[in-house]
Amino acid sequence: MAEFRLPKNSRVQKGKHHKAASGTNLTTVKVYRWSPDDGENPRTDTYEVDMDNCGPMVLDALIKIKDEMDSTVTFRRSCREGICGSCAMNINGTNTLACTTSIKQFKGKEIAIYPLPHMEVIKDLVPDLTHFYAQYASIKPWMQTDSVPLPDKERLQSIEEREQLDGLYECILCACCQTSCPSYWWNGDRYLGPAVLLQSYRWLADSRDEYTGERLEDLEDPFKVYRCHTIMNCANTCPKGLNPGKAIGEIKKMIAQRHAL
Amino acid sequence: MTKKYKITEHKFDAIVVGAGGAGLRATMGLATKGLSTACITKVFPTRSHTVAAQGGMSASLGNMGEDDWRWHMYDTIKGSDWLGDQDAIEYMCREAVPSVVELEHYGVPFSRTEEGKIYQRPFGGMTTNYGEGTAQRTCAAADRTGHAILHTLYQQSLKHDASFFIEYFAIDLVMEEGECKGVLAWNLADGSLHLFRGHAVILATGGYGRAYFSCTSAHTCTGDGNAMVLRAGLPLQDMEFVQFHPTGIYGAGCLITEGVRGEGGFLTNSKGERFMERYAPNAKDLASRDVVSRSMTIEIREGRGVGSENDHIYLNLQHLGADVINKRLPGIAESAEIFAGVDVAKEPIPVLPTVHYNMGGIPTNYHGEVVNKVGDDPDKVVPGLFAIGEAACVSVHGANRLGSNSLLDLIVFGRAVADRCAEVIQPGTKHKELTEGALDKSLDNLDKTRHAQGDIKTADLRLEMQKIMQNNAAVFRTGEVLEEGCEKITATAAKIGNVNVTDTSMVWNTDLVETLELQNLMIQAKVTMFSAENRKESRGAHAREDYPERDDDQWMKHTLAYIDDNGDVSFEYRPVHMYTLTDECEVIPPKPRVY
Amino acid sequence: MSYQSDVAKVKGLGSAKHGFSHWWMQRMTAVLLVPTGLFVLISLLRLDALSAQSMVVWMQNPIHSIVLLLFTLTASYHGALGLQVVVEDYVSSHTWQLILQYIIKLSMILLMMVNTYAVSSVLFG
Repeated sequence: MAEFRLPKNSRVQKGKHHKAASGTNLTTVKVYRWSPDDGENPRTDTYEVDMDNCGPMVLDALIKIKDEMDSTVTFRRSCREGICGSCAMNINGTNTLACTTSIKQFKGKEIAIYPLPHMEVIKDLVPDLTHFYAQYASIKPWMQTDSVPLPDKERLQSIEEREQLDGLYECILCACCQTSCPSYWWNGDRYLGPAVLLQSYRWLADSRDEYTGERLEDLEDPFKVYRCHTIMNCANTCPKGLNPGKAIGEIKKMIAQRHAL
Repeated sequence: MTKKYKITEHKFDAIVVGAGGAGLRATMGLATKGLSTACITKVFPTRSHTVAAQGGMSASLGNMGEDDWRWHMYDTIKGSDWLGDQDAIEYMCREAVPSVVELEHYGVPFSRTEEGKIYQRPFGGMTTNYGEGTAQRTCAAADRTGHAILHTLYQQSLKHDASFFIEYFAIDLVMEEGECKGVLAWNLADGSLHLFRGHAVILATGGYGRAYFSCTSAHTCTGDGNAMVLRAGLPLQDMEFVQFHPTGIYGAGCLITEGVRGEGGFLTNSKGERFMERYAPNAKDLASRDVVSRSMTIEIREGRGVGSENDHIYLNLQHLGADVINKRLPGIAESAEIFAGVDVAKEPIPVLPTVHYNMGGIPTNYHGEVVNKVGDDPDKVVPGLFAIGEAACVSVHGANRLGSNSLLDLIVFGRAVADRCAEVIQPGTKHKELTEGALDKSLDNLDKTRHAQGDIKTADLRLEMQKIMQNNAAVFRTGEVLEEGCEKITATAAKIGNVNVTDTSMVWNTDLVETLELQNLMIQAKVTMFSAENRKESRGAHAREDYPERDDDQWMKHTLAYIDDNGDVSFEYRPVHMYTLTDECEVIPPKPRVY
Repeated sequence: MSYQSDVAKVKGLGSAKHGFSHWWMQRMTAVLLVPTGLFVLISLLRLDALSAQSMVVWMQNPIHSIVLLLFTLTASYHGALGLQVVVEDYVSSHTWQLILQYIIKLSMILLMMVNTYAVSSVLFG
């Protein structure tokens, strides 16, 4: 059966409290902590962060914690401008990028930071995304053609045809949508999930690709696509403002057309 | 030490370190050539910093008006302030066209023209007919070109079944008798150590922007490959040339593409004046980056900066209209909103010159083979070692890189290195045994750093280094400031043995990763400062107020900087290649550089 | 512990190459349930009294019976399709899947037969 409670050794316990050395404008940041080394249950550590000496984003607060209070706090980060997708995490209940989430919106209230939900945790805020990446590879996310283009000329594509890719190619594979989808929580082993399906549709929508039929054939499966129950958490949570739910709808429409409907 | 740490050995024909644009292009190239290839990367490939490149990739396709790769070559040489090697520049500009076409065939979602061809936009320093008109040469996918290219290259690598070792941190090169034999790397996910043996080790590890306090670079841009090369006793070239991008967002440092000015945006000072008209009467806002950054700095210095502190400049694009912004520049509209709270359709963006790119790096020839000066031979190839991308100094960018030439550099030389390896390596060639203790020095340092119990926090020491670089190796430099910088950075670098690492785990120990990265940054920072102090002229991005002129007699040469185990920096020089590969173009002799 | 590759795990049993008809029928039956359901509901509300006697009279009109039958058959089918999804979503044990899906399908058939018998026995009885 689907599990509705965390197993015993995954239940989160109360952790350490780190007081700020100085400052009056303090915000409490709670961070999920788990290390594979000590065999302990996960815990949430509390940090009092001095907002007068902190950058504007949640990632800035995390870096400040790591730099000044507790260098063992572990999280992924890279570009700090919302384009690399490294710092995807669950912040106050929403999957998003820490680097583009402003602290101000929480109005001084406590900020609770957890890893992306329903994924195996490697350490602290670092989830294991191996399965997600393998799913991405499984849809053959590259241009497939039979015709050979002229070697010294680009394939032509009209402005309108190219517009079909807008809202799709911008995906940064951060997995925020993927891990916000209840259907993916229950059946992530077989359901491709919103991010991977958005990528599938990116190739279905590309006028230059010649394998639409094969792609659709591969997708038509009770689990790969039809686990989407249009819950739409994906579109709500996408930090880049994309709409994977709509892309999945388009895939279903294409499959329907294939069946002469 | 080898006993304390169990090491798994892997044998491949070629090892690529880094999975940005250059690394991925090389990886897929090698895989298609039938060489067994491993790509080691400390971040998942699509998270590499190529993803943040916005404006585009230059190539003289001529889709938007007449163009010629020779004009592109001329612009690049002029942009480099005659420090670029002309054979390599010829190679890059000629190969640009097939490289872009190839990318399109792989599926990069380029923006399109009415005729369905790849859309090209104007960019700084790109001209037609040897400096006469403005060229539209930069191939763009809206303002997310790097993202589009990086994702496509990763997809192609998946297609060609290259072996990826993701979230493996490369620790050191394995060198024996001056030959590169492999790479030692650490798997963050399970804490295991791995020795990757390869007949070719290709460093595609990017720049070291994080040596500075304010940069457009990602947190992960720590130049690990450069540092590994320095530790191997090999030199880095032209490290004094650090590009400041004119338009980093004030405060946050995030990049705003030059494409904004390519599409018609312009800079203004506190008087609302388009000051670039004074500094570059022809190219105006589309002069090369070093020129624009210096002009902005002068405006701010002379009290014409904007804001309450008069310490930045405005970038205006309100006049472009919502349609152009949505179509061509949607990404920067988003960035400006998030990081500056600005609606670009209504207000200007506050910007400041921000460290962006390292022209310097590992010296190579145009095949990507690492070279060193040995005796009288300035182009002696280091067997088994290659470098590409921002990590390399081919040198196609010389003293200053033109915008949109970096994506080009990645692709062209990523491709070239794969071709070269296919020529020189027989697939499946056996690997000779390493001598015992070949890894000892690296493992020793790893173990020592992991258990370092000093009294300086890694973050504090990093900040100290970044502040010194920011203050003493800035847009304008003087002998006095640089000498002080050398003293300060030497003192700071000496403290590295006294850092404190709290996390002793081997699994995802980012505390240790950041400390190893700091070691890497520190030696590069030191070499940069000393190289800058050493070069007594002004050329490209290296602007010395005490030597304001370019001095071709003394200084038209590449700096090679070495650092020994005691941290002492020494110099050698390589001549600039003033010759071309073919007779299809002519050498461009040095002349005054006016935009 | 498993040494199976990520690719093998993801590819699993491969594409079933169906799933559309289920999805389509669920929507089609949902659409059909709206008019037939409304018709039955309104008709029942308009009866003088909700007694067995008045029901029998109402059902003896063939059009009423056909619509009622259409409604009950569609509802059974639609319900079974829906329950199938619920089981697929939440039950991960293969054995339980099999048992529950069997019960759902069997119940649907039984329900359909009983419905058909009941309506036709009133209509022709």
